[in-house]
Amino acid sequence: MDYTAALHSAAAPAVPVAAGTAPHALALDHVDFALQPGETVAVMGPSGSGKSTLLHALAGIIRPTSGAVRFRGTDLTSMPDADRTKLRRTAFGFVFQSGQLLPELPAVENVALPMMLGGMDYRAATDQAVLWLERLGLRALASHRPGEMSGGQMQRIAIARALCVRPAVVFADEPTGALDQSTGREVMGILMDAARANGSAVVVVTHDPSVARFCGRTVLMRDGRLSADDAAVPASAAPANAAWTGGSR
Amino acid sequence: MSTFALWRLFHRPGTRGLSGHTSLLATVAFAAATGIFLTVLGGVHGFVWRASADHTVACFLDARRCAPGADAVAYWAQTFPDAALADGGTSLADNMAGMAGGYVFLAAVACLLLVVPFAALAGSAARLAASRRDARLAALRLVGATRGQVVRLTALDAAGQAVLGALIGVLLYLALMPAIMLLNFQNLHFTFEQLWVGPLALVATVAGVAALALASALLTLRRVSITPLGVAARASQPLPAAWRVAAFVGAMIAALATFKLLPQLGASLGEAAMIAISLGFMLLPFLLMNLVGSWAVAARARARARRPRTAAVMIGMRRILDDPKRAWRNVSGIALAMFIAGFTSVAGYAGTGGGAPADAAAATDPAVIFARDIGTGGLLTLAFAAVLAAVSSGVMQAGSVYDQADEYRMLVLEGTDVATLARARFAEVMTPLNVVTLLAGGCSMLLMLPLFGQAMGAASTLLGFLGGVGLCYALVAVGAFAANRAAASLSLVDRRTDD
Repeated sequence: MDYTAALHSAAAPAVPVAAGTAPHALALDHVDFALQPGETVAVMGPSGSGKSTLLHALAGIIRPTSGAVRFRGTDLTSMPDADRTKLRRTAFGFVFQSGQLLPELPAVENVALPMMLGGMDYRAATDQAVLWLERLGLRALASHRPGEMSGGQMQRIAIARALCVRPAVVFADEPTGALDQSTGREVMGILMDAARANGSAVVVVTHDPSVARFCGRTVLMRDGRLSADDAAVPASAAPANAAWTGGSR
Repeated sequence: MSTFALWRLFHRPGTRGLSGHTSLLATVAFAAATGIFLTVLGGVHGFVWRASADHTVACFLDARRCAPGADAVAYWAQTFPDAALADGGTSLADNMAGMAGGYVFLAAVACLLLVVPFAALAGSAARLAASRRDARLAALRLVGATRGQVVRLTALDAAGQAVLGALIGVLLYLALMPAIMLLNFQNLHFTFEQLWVGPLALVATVAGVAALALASALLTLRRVSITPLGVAARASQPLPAAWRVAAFVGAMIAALATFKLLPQLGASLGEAAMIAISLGFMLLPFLLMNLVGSWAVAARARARARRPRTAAVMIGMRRILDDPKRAWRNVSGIALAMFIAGFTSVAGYAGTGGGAPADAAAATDPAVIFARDIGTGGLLTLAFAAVLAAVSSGVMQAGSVYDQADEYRMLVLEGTDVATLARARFAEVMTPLNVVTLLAGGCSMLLMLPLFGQAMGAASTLLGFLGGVGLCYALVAVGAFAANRAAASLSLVDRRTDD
């Protein structure tokens, strides 16, 4: 996997604002970031430091006002919106703080949804989804709807949904933010184990150091700038044949 | 802090956000409902004006309160001075004056028929006004606002939107008036004086709409538990029970059996009882629709959700099953409109004298004029009912887009095409619409067939009926589609996604 980002600047709002007209302070300011296959990285920093904006730029949700995000040799920033949407669906998985499951769908259909969006038929997608639920020990919840589950159970379903398309990268934005500490640890353990078994890299945005400890590497964001956290332990999960480059500016 | 001060706090410029869009939708709905209601009321007033000796409502209701010397026939004699005498030797003016009361009765029936979709639209607007307030209301409760304050705040919101919408509706009524003046009833065009309902009726209508909105909003709030921790988590609700089908089938069999016995009943019962039975036959389809509608919609959605072909169908069907009554409410107005379409097509058949060509002499035949006017009035009622149903469905559809905005935004972030979500929402309206079309169309045909067997079999009647059904279907589909597009483009761009 070749995944690098050199983001000169990104404006704060979700809708990219043309450079020069941005009324806000820059959310990202000369950020260089690279990710190895299977690597796990925590992005930490205070509120408003640009962590989520970085994650959204890496995942092709927003376009930075200047700079580039390269994934497998293609610059995401120059891709048409439809292609970026497809890329998010096929190559990336997402776990948000809460509320990403559709409340009307039972768990099994929530997990099957991304596969169906990719063109798989209902029977095959739900069969796969059941396998994923079994793998994460959630088989009993298959017919339950999100309103009938606890917060921790919902996050586990969200993890199953993020991983079922076998993504290259899982982006997790405060995945334990709505959970108590022990449930949070449990959920992070499941996320990391499943991602490792899947060979997926993980980028976790968090301001909880205990969550960051699950990752091989931690980077810090402050006022839109990125700096490596020296205290972080190097990734043990990163494979030796990783082909990635990271530039600094 | 007074409720009004709280209300002011939330209505400063730039503080509306998402609730601003729903407020706009609710206002549009109130405006459409009021505009159409006043237009129909204007029509009723016009017929009363023509039927009343001194052109006042009081005189029409009570002959003793007429102005001295007023003569109902004099108006028609002035209007048709050169008309030839009709067959019976009575003048056209006498005939027209005699039938004027019948026109008022039919216009009042049309007005009553429209009360149902009107109330549905006002109700959905009020629900919309009270929805999307959960987070704000819960936050208010958390900081110590009493339940009473929160309820009053929302009620004030809904009533405010209703009054604003109703005032815009009054303008809409005035704007529609020139078009209504072009219509020809009793061989005459309406005049402003006839269609103008007067300031008292306008004030009463605005006040009535506000009261209706207030009542609906309070009812909606009663169901939403505004605890400091927000609304209770959503869990599965029981689907509509099968007893509805049993009751539906029972009522249909009873209705058809009553028809079989009609000749015998006719002999033993009086004319008044027969009219009551006939009216019952006409209203039965609508009552049956409401009984079985939500069950039928849920059954169809369950069948489609078993093996959905696409993700969009799966999401759409699950949304319906989440609350089948809501899905049914979205399209229920159309059931009445389709029933009116059936009735209108029969009236149109009668209007052309069973398909006989109308000659020049018939142009001044009061019976032909009356039948033709029933056809026109029916079409007008159908159009109004269809527009009310379409606006109602569109408004509810747009409102549900806002309800789902958070989850849909997440799906888009995860790589779901916006088009897929639009298709899901469209499926959510089209499935109930197809069910209601089949049910309402089938039901009204089945029940009117025994009454108007010959008329219902005629090609022109069938064409008229299918045309009416097609019109309703198209209007609701277009309304839902437009609301869907407009709301979808709004909901996904006005939210911050960064930290």
